[in-house]
Amino acid sequence: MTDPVLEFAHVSITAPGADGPRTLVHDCTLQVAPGEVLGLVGESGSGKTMSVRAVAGLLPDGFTVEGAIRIDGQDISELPAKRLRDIRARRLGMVFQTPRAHLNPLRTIGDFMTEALVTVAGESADAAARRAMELLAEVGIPDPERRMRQRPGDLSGGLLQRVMIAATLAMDPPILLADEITTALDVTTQEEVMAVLADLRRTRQLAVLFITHDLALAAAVCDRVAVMQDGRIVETLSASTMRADAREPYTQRLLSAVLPADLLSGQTAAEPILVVDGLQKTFHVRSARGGRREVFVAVDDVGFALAPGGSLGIVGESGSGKSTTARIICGLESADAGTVSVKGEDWTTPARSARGRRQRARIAQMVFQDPYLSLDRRQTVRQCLTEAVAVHRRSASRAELRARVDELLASVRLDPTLADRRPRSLSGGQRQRVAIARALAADPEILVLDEAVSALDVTTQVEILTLLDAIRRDTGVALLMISHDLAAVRRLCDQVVVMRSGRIVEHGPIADVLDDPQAEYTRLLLDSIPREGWVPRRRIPARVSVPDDSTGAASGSSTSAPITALEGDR
Amino acid sequence: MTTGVLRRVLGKLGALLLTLFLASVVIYSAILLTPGDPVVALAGGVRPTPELIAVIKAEHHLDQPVWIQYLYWVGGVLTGDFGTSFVYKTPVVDLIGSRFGITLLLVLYTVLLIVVFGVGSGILAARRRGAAEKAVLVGTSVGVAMPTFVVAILLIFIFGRLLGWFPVFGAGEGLLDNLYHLTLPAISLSVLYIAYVSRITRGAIVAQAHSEHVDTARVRGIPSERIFRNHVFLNASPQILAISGTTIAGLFAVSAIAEQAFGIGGIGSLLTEAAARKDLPVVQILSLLLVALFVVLNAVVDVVIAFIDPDSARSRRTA
Repeated sequence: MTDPVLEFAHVSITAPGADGPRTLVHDCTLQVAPGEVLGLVGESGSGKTMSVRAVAGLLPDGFTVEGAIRIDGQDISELPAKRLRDIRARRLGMVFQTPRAHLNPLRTIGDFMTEALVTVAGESADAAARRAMELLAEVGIPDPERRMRQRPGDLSGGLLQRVMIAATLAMDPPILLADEITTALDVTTQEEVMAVLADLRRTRQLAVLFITHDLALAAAVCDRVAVMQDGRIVETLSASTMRADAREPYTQRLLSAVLPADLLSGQTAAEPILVVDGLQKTFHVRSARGGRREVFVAVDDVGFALAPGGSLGIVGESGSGKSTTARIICGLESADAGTVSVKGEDWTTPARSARGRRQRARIAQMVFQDPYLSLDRRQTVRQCLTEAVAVHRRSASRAELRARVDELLASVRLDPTLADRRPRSLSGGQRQRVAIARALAADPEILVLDEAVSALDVTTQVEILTLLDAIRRDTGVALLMISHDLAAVRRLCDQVVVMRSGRIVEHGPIADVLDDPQAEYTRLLLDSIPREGWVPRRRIPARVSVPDDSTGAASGSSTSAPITALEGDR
Repeated sequence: MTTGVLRRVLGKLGALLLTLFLASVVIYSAILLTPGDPVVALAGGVRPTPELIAVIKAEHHLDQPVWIQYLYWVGGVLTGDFGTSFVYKTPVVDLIGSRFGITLLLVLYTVLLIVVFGVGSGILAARRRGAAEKAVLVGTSVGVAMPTFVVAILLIFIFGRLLGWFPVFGAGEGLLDNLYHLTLPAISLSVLYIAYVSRITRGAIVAQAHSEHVDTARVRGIPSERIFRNHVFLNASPQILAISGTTIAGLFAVSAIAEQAFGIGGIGSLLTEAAARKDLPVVQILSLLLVALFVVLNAVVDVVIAFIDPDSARSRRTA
């Protein structure tokens, strides 16, 4: 192997904080050779971005770096500031996640392209302009002459990202730092940008440090992949044999998150992240006819397990106890009997202290049915997300908070121009994306979706479900989806629990349960899904009692509503 | 020039004319609200005979409906006839003309102080951490809490009485003497606005300095002076300009305080005086002039901003 052009030797990065310094990157060692693409993968907050920012000299004030970062074998910490700036300008190119934010909106593309050529390389304005147009053509931008006169606001995100790449190539650097460069782009644009990058790497022998949280993408474009967890590189693998060679549970978890659902069932070796056992909850409700209070069993002996990065749907009609189960898990309700354990910890009783609640919130987050009600109407999207991030990262600087909010907006595919809007001026789907982003702010390991798509129209529902599925694959968050909609659950979940009147009537892999339902009630639910050739039929509503049931039909032992009553109508 | 800028200029021009028209209506209607009969004021305070009243009314079109009176007035203003002062019995244009120069000089002097010290200290506070930043922040906190008349009294006491460095009354003769006389008034007018503009400048620059495109420029090795000029200050300037524009436009009216305190015969003190003596033609024309200056200056600032940031002229796109 040729000598690496970029090398990390035992690099640690420490951030100052209100409660003492925090080490974000621990003892990181890696090398990138010319013509090689090294992927640096891991979840957000794992230290990937700080590592490249250290190379580029973009660490926030007060951050310190130990160990050696070498460019062309030269330890950059030993260089005088002016020389280092020059080396960075000539030897490094960096492309960021959000091209729109990383280009000065007031200056033309031409200004941007030629600036380094003129001020750093000392070329004449004419020569620089000619070179800039060549570069724009090289990255496949049509009509470069016109583009040079335009400002970033006139170009699409995909074009801007190409402009960024072209501009970094202006100085012909041997090293390219790519920080989540396609995360903010849609899949087709991502494909184009990656194709451009692959060409350049071949033709220019670029050494690329490619940061992504997307393992599937990393496996496709990288030669080697370094997996980073909590600031440490846990293992470095060859991209082509990554699946077979992965030893670390963290890597396996990341890998399992990208595997299609049908492959997942074979690898349930991982410890469940959530185990619910023998859960019981009774409400004392006033009888509909007045008089004595009655006992209403909302949840009766409910138990299931959720794998890390897995997805479990709880389906049933309203009053089946599915929402109560979710609320107990999230600590919004306490159980009368049974246990809830998350990552081996007992969560049966709701956390009392603010600290305890915050700790649990970091693991489990909830998304509710109506985002309009669950969002503060006076807060803009950015304020709302900043607040959510700040709760969990109390020592974060403003720049860090902003960066994280931008990351969240990108992760829910929400147009950054909407960040300054208030919920009133957003569509239902956009609001739900904000609610999801807010839940993701805590970097949770479990996302509880309480009828999160039920209030949306069908196409928006599909969009949100697709988004949630992508988020699960990207971040490895486990989904617990509460819904009455079997079609929605089928789209998103591997496992399903069917509940009726507080009890589980059926439980298993989604395909088994939905394709070959054993319980009568499951069959009934399936029959009610609209489909081709489907004729809606009227059915007697399941006789279940909800606490505010005013029909009076629910008096007495409502939990034993016979399923035969439903069959009689068929 | 892009169409965005052109459209913005034309739109501004229309809005400007409309504002001036509405302002003239409001200012003229103020007559109806002023207590006392203008005829009495026109007669010089004596009780006029019925014949005199008829003469005065005919001369000033007071026997016509109000809207006709308004049209006469606007027509006069547009053709350069600004009317005659009730009190001085001289043309309003002469009254204002002889005083406008000194107010203009005072305002320009003040603007210079605001731009140099306000923007300058804002840049300083934004770029230098530590003592300089703290000093500016403390200074501006005190500055924004100092009303102009308080500053004027303090300056008169310290530099006029105790030290005797500057004159505290009148405007002097000749440009240099004018400037010498106007130093304390200009300082007293500028303190509040220096503090204000300094804070806005600092905030705008800090916000821009943390923006991501500045990171890009840094990675590319662009010299830091150039980054500051072309990526930080340029991008912060629309905000600084917008605030400074309103401030400067308002100075023509606020100058009255300093003119009163330092006994300067400018349009500010003319306005206070005319208002006190119910000299309606003077009050009307001065009010209209102040409104015109305000909207024109703001329009100019808007056009400058549109040149810096053409996108601000367009309706926001959704990408």
